Amino acid sequence: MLQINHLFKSYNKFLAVNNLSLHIPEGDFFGFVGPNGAGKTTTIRIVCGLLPATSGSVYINGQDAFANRKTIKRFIGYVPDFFGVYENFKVKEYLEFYGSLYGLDPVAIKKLSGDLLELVNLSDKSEDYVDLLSRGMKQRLCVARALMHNPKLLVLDEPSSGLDPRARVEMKELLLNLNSLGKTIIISSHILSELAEMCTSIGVMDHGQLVTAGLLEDIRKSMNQDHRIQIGISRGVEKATEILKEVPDLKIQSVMEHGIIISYDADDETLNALLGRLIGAGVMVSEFHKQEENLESLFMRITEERKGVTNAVIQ
Amino acid sequence: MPSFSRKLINPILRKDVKIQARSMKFAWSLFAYEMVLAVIFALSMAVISEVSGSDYKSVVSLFPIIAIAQLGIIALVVPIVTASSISGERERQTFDILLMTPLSPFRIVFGKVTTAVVRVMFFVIGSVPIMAISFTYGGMSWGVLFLFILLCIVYAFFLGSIGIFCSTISRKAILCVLLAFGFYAVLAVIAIVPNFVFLLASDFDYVWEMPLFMMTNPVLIFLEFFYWAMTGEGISAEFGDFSDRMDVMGPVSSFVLQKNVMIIFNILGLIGISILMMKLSARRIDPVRSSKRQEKRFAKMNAMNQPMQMQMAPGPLMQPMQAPMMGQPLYGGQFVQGQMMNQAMMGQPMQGQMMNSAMMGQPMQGQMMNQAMMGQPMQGQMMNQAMMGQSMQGQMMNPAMMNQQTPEVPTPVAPGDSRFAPPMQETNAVNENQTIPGGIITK
Repeated sequence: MLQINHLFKSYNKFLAVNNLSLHIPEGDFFGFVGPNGAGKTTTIRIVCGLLPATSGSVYINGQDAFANRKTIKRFIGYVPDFFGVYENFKVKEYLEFYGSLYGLDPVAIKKLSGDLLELVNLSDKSEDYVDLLSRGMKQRLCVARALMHNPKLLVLDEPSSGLDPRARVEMKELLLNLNSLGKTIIISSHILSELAEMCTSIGVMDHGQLVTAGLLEDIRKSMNQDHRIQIGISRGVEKATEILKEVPDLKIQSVMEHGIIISYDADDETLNALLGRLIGAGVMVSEFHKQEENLESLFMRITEERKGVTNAVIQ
Repeated sequence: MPSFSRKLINPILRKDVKIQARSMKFAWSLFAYEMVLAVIFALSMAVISEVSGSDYKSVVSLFPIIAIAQLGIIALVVPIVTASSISGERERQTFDILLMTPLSPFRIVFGKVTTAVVRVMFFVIGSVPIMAISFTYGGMSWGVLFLFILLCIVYAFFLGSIGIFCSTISRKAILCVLLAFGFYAVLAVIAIVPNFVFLLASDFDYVWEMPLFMMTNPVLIFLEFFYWAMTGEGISAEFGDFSDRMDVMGPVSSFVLQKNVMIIFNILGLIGISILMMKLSARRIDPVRSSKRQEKRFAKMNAMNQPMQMQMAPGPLMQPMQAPMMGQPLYGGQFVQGQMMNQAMMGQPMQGQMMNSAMMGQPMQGQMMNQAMMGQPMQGQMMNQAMMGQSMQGQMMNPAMMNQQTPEVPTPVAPGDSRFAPPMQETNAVNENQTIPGGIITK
């Protein structure tokens, strides 16, 4: 659906997007994550044709996005991060206006806007003025607007910023629903956990570069690579340390007052035996579990590592 | 029929007029304007009856007074409405969405200018009943009234197109409005300059040929119009007869100064400028056109780039290509992971080499090359196709070439997923001993 090849974008000497290559297949729910200023919005705006790229190419649905801008516009539904409103404009009219911009038939527009309002759960608000809607409703209306021309690709730039938890959940459900209806969705956010709940794949951006990209599950699997296990101990930390030191291939990461963190690549049976040994030796174990790195800390680690390497080379 | 009218009427015009019609501010401003006109009317009638007594025919002089008030309103309202239209959409952040629709930039601009014209025509039409008094009592031709309205529309388009151009310059609406007024002032000065130049050149001999050079001046169109409306003569009657002049300017001037010719010339001139300004505005708001401009600027900037130290990246920069991957475009659905490929490389697995189209068939060990190197060895300068604004598709590049980027750290790429192209990881090994032009840059 979307293919980005060696995309570069520079603002004078600042490189906002640096050699970004990406392929998003049809029907995917792709999350772009990265800190503020990582180049997510720039990439999205280039894909939508709202910003010229310095070099590289973008293909949407097999068509060159830079050469066939007019055709490409019909494939993309774009929801910007900020919802701008016209004063004195009703919800229904808002959708009808955008429908008319796409040259749709007035009768079709009326039917479509009714259907879309139902989809985004705003049917009862069709006669209300747009500027009187809550932020969450505006955002959903914006999604409905982006769907007026039935695009294959829906691009959302930070859609959840400034939404309350309920509105976030509603937004998430709406997007998942759209994805199940066959829309390819690209969503950007700086909140990784939010994306993790809905995306099938994610791409992490930092300093204009795509740090990592892949299926969410694969990234999750690759996270706990040093197999950390956290053992909570109420009594007998010293004893436990002695026992653990004797176990081959086991590495003690840290010893705390009431716990030990170890690195140990073993199957469940071996771990069970180890736990039994500890308990048998009189160590009072309060918890024993695999420590899973969450996406946020993975993200922090990746960006930190990159920063560290950059500094080292500059020095 | 309805679909025809829908196609004919710009959707932006329809939307803006609807929004405007609902605004109480607009209703009040229309009311205030009518009140001002009523006061002007009452004062004018008092003056007219004082000067001409009970001669009701002199009521006709009410027309230019009211008409000039209309022109004042147009000159005031249109720049404010248009100069804040594009910048207003930008401020509201609705402009990106408009650009994402298939509506062409010119139609967006045209819709915005038409909105301003329609808006100001509410005022003009609203004052027709008062103006009509001078027609019914003064015995003026109705054709004059309709010609006046036509001129107002042309004039409003002219002012609107300049206003919208100013609106594309800045994001701040207030600044755009000020720019628009400044623009008019400059235009007014420019319109007068040729006259003075001509007068000076001719040693003040051909004073009455001035109107010929004032064709670009919108004021003249109304001067001519009012003169004709009030006296039934063209302005040439005032300027004298040129038909007996022996030089070229004589017949030209007398032709132009005929009452109809000059007005038509003026109208065409204003329409021409309006279209030009709207086209320019459409260019300015079109992201693709601006892209070409930016690319040129970028290429120029990089051509003058300061010298940088180049380093060679030997070792396994690139893995040998898999045969099935050859010949497949990068966008074809499959992605080449962790590899660099080049159209010229098809079928030639190469270890630790980088090449580009200029290198067809010449494997080079541990070197990087680019087109700029082919004829002119470059001293410490980096240059590649991507920086010259050309597409890099299917060509090999080192990510570190594009900026002061350092070699990549191995990043946790999801295993088993070949769909995503990770940032290139081929540059892990960097040998700092070798330095050749066209390599990896470190500052």
